[in-house]
Formats: sequence, C-alpha cells, structure tokens
Amino acid sequence: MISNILVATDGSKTAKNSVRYAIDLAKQTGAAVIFLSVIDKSLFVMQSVPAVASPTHLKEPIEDFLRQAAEAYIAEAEALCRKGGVESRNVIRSGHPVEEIVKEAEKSKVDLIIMGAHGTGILKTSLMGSVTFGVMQKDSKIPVLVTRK
Amino acid sequence: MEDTKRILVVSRMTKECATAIHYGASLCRKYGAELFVLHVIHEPFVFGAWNLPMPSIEEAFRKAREEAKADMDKIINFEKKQGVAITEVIKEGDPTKEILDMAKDKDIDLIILLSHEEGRLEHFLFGRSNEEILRKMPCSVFFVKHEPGPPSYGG
Repeated sequence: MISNILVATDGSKTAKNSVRYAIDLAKQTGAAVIFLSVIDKSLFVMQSVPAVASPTHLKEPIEDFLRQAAEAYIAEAEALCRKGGVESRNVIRSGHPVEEIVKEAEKSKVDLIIMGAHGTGILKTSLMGSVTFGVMQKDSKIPVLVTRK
Repeated sequence: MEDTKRILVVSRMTKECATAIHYGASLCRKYGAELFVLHVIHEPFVFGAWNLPMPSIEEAFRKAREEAKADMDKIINFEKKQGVAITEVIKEGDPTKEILDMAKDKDIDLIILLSHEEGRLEHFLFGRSNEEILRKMPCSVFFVKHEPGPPSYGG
C-alpha cells in the first residue's frame, strides 16, 4: 500500500523528526524514501528589486550556501537510511515549497508525503503562512502525514 | 522517536471513511498497534432548528449514514478476523472536540482522517475541523486523500 514515501525537509528540528518517522515507517512497510529540500527563493530580499538591478554577486552565494546546507542535512538523513537498511534518494529544488513538493510527489508517484508541523496558533499561521497547510489543501490525491515537533 | 502503539481512525459516517479505516488497519498490522475507530455523528443541518418539514433530507441523511456504517462494519469485522485489535466508539457532537478529547484520553500516537481540496466558501463553512486539529497537534496526523485501490473484504 505504501511503497514510496516523500519527506519534505528543511533541516529544522521538526523536519528531522519527520525524517526519523519516515525511516521508521519505511522499515515497517518496506517502502523507499525520497528526501526533498526546496530552496525558497521568495525569501531572498533581492527578489523584490528589478532583475537588472539585482545584485547577483550577493544572490548567488546565498543560494549556494542554502544548497550546501540542504546537501548536508539530506546526507545525514541518507546515512540514517543506510543504517536502517532503507532505500533512499534525494532531490533538491529551487522555487515555491508547496508547488515543488506536490510537483515532485506526483512526478515520483509517491504514496505518501511526510512533513513536520509546529502546531502554530492562528495568528502565526496567518502571518507567516504554512507549507504544510498549503500541501494539504492542494489539489493532489496523495495522502499527507504531518508529524509533531 | 515516538512509538506508534495506538492509532485512531476518525469516521464521519460516510462511505469514504472506509479508506481511512483501511489505512489504519494496514498500519496497525505493520506496527502491531491497537486501532480505535471513532464514529463522530455531527448533523450539519440541524433539521429541527429550521422549523420546516424536511423529511426527505433527514431521511436521506439517515439512510446514507446507515449504508456507510454497514460498509464500515464489513471492513472492521474483516480486520478483526485478521487479528487487528479494534475498539469502536460512537460520539455525537463537535467533531474537533470529540477527536481531541479521545486522542488525549486514549493516549493516541497517530490520528488518521479524511481530507480533500476545499474551495474558500466550503473551507469557511465546513472545513476548519482538520485545520484546528493540525493546530492543536495532539500527535502525528495522517490525512488520507486517495483511494488506495478497491480492497476486497469478506461479508
């Protein structure tokens, strides 16, 4: 029933918990795990200035830095998979997190998306938005498992 | 890492809830966990309050609920025969409150419930229950959106 699991991770404590949850579930079900990290470009301040004026000498190093960080925490997750005898692969993308998570889940034909949530209040969610809420309400038929902090 | 020893499946007495029970039973077998099925009865239309005779809607609603319950009974009985420990509870009232109360009382490790895409109006009128549960996050939550294929169950 569950043979492919996608774990969306950003290296946070909550995401690390969902990585462990996914590996444990994969061990029980014999599923393979895909670790996805999305570099959210909308957070870059430079995006708000015109392309011509965009200081690429600043923007590129930030993106490189975030990519290296993503590679590091995904490598950590893959090491946990190898230790547990779980098959895994990783994907790093740039773009809007909700769009990229759903796109990758559909492309890889996963049976389950696992993500972490902090259990935030109404105000915090309204102000900051939430990737988890976004994925849940997206027009996708893939089940979503939200793990607790 | 929390152990998954007690799983709660939320049923709203609709036919689609059979899918959630199917996932719950399957995960219980993998984890060797105990399964709780909470049937929440919540009448969104409050027939009496309209002060209008609506026998056809009320009757149709009751009939649909009975048919859904019969479907779920088939699955639950099948899973019980397979050795899954299942406890059924029926509650009437606000779904969010009943789910959160039961998760706390029974020390649940994973809640499984149905979810689907909602338009803004539908979300405003009916859809806040799942969001509320996700905000409170008493434990990990599994939102089932997809039929995993037609499971066959004995009668």
